[in-house]
Amino acid sequence: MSRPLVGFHDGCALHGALATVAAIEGVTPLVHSTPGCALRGAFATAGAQGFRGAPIHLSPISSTNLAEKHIVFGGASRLREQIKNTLSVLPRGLLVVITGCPTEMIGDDVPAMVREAVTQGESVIDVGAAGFLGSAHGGYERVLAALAARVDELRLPAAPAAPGLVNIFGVVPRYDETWASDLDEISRLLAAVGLVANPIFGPGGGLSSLAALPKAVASLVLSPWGLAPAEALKAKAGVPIVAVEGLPVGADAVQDLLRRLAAATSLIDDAAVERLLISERRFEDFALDETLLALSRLGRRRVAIAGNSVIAGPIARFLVTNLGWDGRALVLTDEPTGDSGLSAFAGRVISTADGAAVKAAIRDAEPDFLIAGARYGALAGELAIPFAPIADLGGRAALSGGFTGARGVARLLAALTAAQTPVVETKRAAARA
Amino acid sequence: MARRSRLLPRETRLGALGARLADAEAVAADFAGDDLPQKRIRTFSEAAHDDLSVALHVLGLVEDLGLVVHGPRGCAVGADAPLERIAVTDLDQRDTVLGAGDALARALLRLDETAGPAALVVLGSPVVAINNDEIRAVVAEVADQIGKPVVWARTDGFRSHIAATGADAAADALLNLIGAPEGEREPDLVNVLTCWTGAAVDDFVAALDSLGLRVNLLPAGAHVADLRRAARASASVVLDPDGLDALASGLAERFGVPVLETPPPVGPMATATALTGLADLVGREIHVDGSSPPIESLRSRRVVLAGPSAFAFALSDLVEEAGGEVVGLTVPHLDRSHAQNLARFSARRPRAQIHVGEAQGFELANVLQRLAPDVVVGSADAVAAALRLGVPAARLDPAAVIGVPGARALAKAVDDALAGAALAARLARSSARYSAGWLRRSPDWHVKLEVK
Ligand code: SF4
Repeated sequence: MSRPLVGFHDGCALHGALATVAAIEGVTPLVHSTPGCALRGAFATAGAQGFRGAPIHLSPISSTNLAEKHIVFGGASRLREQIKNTLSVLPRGLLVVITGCPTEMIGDDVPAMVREAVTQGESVIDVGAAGFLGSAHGGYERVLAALAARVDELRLPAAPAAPGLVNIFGVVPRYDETWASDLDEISRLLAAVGLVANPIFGPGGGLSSLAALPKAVASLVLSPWGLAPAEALKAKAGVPIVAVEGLPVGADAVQDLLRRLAAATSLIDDAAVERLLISERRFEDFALDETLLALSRLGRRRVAIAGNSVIAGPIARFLVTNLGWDGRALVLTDEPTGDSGLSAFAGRVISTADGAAVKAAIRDAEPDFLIAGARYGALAGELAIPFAPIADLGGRAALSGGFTGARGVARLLAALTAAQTPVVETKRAAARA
Repeated sequence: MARRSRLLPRETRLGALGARLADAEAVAADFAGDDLPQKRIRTFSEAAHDDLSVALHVLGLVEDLGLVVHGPRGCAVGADAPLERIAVTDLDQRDTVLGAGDALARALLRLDETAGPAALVVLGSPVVAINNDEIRAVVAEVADQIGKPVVWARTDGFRSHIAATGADAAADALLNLIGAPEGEREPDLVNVLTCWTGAAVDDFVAALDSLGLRVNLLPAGAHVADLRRAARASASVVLDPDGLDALASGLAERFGVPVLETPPPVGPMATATALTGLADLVGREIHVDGSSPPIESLRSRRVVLAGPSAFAFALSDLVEEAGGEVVGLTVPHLDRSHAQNLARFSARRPRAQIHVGEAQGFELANVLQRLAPDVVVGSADAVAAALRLGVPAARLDPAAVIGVPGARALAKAVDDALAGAALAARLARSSARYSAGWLRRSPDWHVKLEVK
């Protein structure tokens, strides 16, 4: 049964599938749905453009924009026409047809339309991602699992051999806002120990990245959302899975991640690992030294953290195990299912995408420091506690944010020590004025 | 009069076109006769907006209005309003089969409890429209239960291909919130209808203040109580006709508030016309200098303008007054409300290209490369398309050119675009977003007359 959400996080499954596909260079999304479905998702991740015109940060999104007659009589022939014309207007690559709620409800035979194109030699695949099936993170999981499971049907150009290739799963483009920076930093860390990251998304990914998925020596899963595609590859090509609890925030987490990867692949050069860890620790020491005065002024904090599981848990872990802070509440806004294993780092761990419930959880925890999306700044102001935003930062966070590794810790420390208590105009203050 | 259960889409009400590319003379001819122009459809399209997104945007501007989207969670994405004021019923697959009236009531009650809005509005999604879920009865029941107005904005996501139909649905909901008129007419109260805010709008409001008028600005930044005041105003002036014409005409039809028939006050001349007209309407005298100085950087420049339709026509007047030559307009839709402006524009520039289509970047890219203008001014996506083709371009938001200083804002945009052409040169080196084959094709090859 549905439950009302107030001020919710995330988008629908179609939005996540769209963001995922659109972040792979050479892949064109074709949304088979009514107008509005695709652009709601595209603009939700656009920062400050406002909901008009086309989203300029994404490559073109082909869409059938179904009309009432298609809802009544079916939209399959419209899809056929759109597939054909997409292949002539947009650059060729892989075309991924993503279906939204309306087309799932009217029962269009999408696979038949896709098969027609495939039999004519085109590289087309369809993925059902109706919004009512779940969240944007769930949409990522669906589409990537489908691509991984059917990778050899995709007619992709053959991937060059890449010894030591590691697939990176679980970071959702745009919905995990610092995705591009984090994927880049993970790639740098793996390269330092002789492995090659397969980030799939952004400038380091693309069609050849997709083609290479089954050739990897391991799939590194950074959040529960990456498990389904990794399992699909394991079933298909025997690629082993290395699952960790979120992005490696700090040198200790990097060490743990490399240890697990080494156990799975036996390809890591121990001396290189040692060199990397020394350099990560030096960087982290430097960041701690630089911020120690401010940290000591801040004192030990009772912190509440709200964010997606790929980053919120790891931040909590770092704050508790490295700074000695008291984790009061950890709210996972992407609603992962199952045991997060994070109760050691926060008195209360809850999983909700409901903004009102997030606020209630933060209040209940009586924190004296808040780390959350920028939208919760006003709440920090009301509670009169310092606030460090880690999300809702607009598209730029993908370029300059990221909390991975020691460099991520440096950014985190900078954010913590720069945190201020937002000023809110309370009714009483306004009346006094 | 019995209220229609379905809102008329702009296509039916005003003969709106959302797909068209031709010279101004041909497009003006579409709207010259009594018949509605024949509808055109695309056989290829990029993702487009729907009425729901536009209605969410407009309604979200009213600061103490709670918004409940009745649909799966993705349908509630996209309002500019603070998220605390937005709820979604979050329908799942089972609800799409069994219906979800209970879910709607629960969402309304929960939002009322968490956000404490002055009133609530329900927006329909494609999913509940396809299922034909009952909304009206739930809305009435909850309104009784909580003792606050609850209204329904009749959006559905697919019955109209003109996203501005959502502004009409929003207007209908806002008018229903007003209910029965209360109190006496207020002779010095004027409604300024705008979705845009900013310093230029503030200055325009200040100009009305100086006429001795009290301004009721809505829906941007308004409260539900201001909607009720709107029904008592002596006139309405519309800054954003494409978004708010229906609200203005609804205030006129239902509450007798006359609308000042004038183009948006963009730049000195249009502002002088608007202010003078308003002064006349409320029986005051005013003198505004409507002269517009030439803009040196625009002299003999071939310009393409992009933005909301009525605004783009108003801006084209300003560009021509300042010495530029408008060789193209790209607008989201055209309808009968634009016929006069279109005819005037066509008389002046019959061969200028008119591109009608929102969010259709492939059309823009093709049209712009053919027109090869000196500069493109206006909306973000047209500016991006131009820059990627190597054409200097600058954003100019409608809110920046309202009022007399609009001419200065235009001059600055053009100067900056031309002086900053390095960005266009750099972006033109990035990889192409559309196939070479498409860019060689006729840019309306895929637009067909709809066969009924
Ligand atoms: S929830 Fe369904 S109808 Fe709504 S935007 Fe997502 S796919 Fe479209």
